[in-house]
Amino acid sequence: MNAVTASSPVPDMAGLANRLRRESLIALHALRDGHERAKAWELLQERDEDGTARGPLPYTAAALEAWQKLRAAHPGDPSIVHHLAIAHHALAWDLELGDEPEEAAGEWETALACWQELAGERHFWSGLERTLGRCEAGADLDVIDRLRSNLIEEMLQVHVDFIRYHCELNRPERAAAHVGIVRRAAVKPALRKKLIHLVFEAMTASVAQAQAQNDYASGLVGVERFLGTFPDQMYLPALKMHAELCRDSVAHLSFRTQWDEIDSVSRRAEPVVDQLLEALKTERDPSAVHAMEELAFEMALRGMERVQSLQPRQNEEPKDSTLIEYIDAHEFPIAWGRKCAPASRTGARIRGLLAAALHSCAWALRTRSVNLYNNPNVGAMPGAGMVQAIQLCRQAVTKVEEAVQWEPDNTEIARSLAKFRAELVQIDILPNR
Amino acid sequence: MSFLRPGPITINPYRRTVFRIAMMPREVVDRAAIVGYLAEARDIAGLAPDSNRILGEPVTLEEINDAESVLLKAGERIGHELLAHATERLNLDRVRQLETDVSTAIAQCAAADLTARRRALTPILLDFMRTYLDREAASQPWIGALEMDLAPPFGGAERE
Repeated sequence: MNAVTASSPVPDMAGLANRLRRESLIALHALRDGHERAKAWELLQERDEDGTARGPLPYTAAALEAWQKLRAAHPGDPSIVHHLAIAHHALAWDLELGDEPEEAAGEWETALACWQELAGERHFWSGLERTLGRCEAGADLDVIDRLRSNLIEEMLQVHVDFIRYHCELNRPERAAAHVGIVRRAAVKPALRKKLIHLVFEAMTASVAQAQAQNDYASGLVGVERFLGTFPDQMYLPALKMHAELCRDSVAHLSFRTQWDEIDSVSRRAEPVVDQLLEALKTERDPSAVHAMEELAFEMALRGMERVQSLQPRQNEEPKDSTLIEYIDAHEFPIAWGRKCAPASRTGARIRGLLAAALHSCAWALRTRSVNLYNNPNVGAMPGAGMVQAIQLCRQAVTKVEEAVQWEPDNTEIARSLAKFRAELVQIDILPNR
Repeated sequence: MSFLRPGPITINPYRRTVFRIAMMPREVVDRAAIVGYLAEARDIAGLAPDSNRILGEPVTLEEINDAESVLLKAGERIGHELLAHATERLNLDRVRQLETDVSTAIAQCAAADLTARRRALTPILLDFMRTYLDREAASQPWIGALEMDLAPPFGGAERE
């Protein structure tokens, strides 16, 4: 305090009073704001039995409410956002691990929004730089840049880990909740792609074990859950994995005793293979192509094994109903061949098997055609058998022509084509018997 | 390992921060002070583990060792600061400056033997004090009651 003597000039009391009044109002406002923050801080304290503060908890209900009021009063203050980010995130974590995890959803989203806001607050990170400098003189400040740029990825990785956690505990609805958070996150495409891959790995972590135990059904469940979660992504690794699991599944099934299961896997695989084929148009992944080829081959092979089991005996004239069943059985392997052969590589086994299936079917049609030709009055109307014989012969020719496209160097197929074409010409011009 | 995932997903990282494990405020940056806090935490973990529990589980020496390896490396520690609340204390600088200004003004009045002018000034200041005190709770232990005590004449017997 300065010494004032009797000879000092008399202070301007009115001016001094005004200045003091002004300064006191400023001090009062500063004190009041700080007082609210200090009060919120105290509401965070964990206390001993005798009331001594032991340090702050991540949140209390009262502190959370206090910070939210402060946020409303000071919307641009990043330090308040930081308090809220910690509180909401910690609360979400506790709820997730508690008895009512579905209560965590809103807290997770709010916390993520706080962290995203904080990632954009320059002053907040400048403050951390100063702290880093106080901890270690000359410290590399790039660590702050990396922390800031990776912050949201770190936050979303938490959800990927929870997805894996809930999948392992067979809680698909909880896994789906976290997938939803990842999907809705406002992130750049590169990070989104990375996250989708991480989610895929998390949701299919158990597939390898399922495969080792030949439990393909549960493996497929994991992959299909992922595909159902990101239907618009056509994520090639997932589509490929689905094709591989279906292929492995069918390879272990007997066409003779488990045809219904084979058919069931086929129905399950078809829509996914359609997506795979669509995805391969833009991203030609050789391993995915191979998976598609192998699945189609396995399906078609099982189908042809069933066809061969239904083949009429050689030295007997087969009943028409037997022939029809035999012919119809060809549709399964032909359908798989037609679906996948166009996208397969030259020399792929599915091409040869498709050609074989078409050729076999053509001969079956030709056999039925001959039977009807020799019994032209079998239908309701006289000569109906002849008409049908001609139609069947035409179908046989069409099938062999298609087979030639897939195996142009196959002489047997070429001979069949010539034979069937000649027979068609013959029966088409001969008068009705 | 990520600061956000120091352990399994079933452990809330905000509960067992390195600062809480070391029972150390986030604002402590001096290396010697950090070492001191860690030593005290180790003593407690060894001699009275029940004195430092988090969610019922005592802090272990292993946790303290892990916390030490983070706290003594600035680059690692800084990430963990994101998980801990910054300490909030009242900034009394302006109040203290106001107190100094008022004391100076009163001293000037006393030196000039201008009792009448001081009497004119005092009600203004008392009015301010009343306004402030009326709006605040009577007892504010968290801001330190002693820090809010003003030296006489305001805290003393002199009144109008």
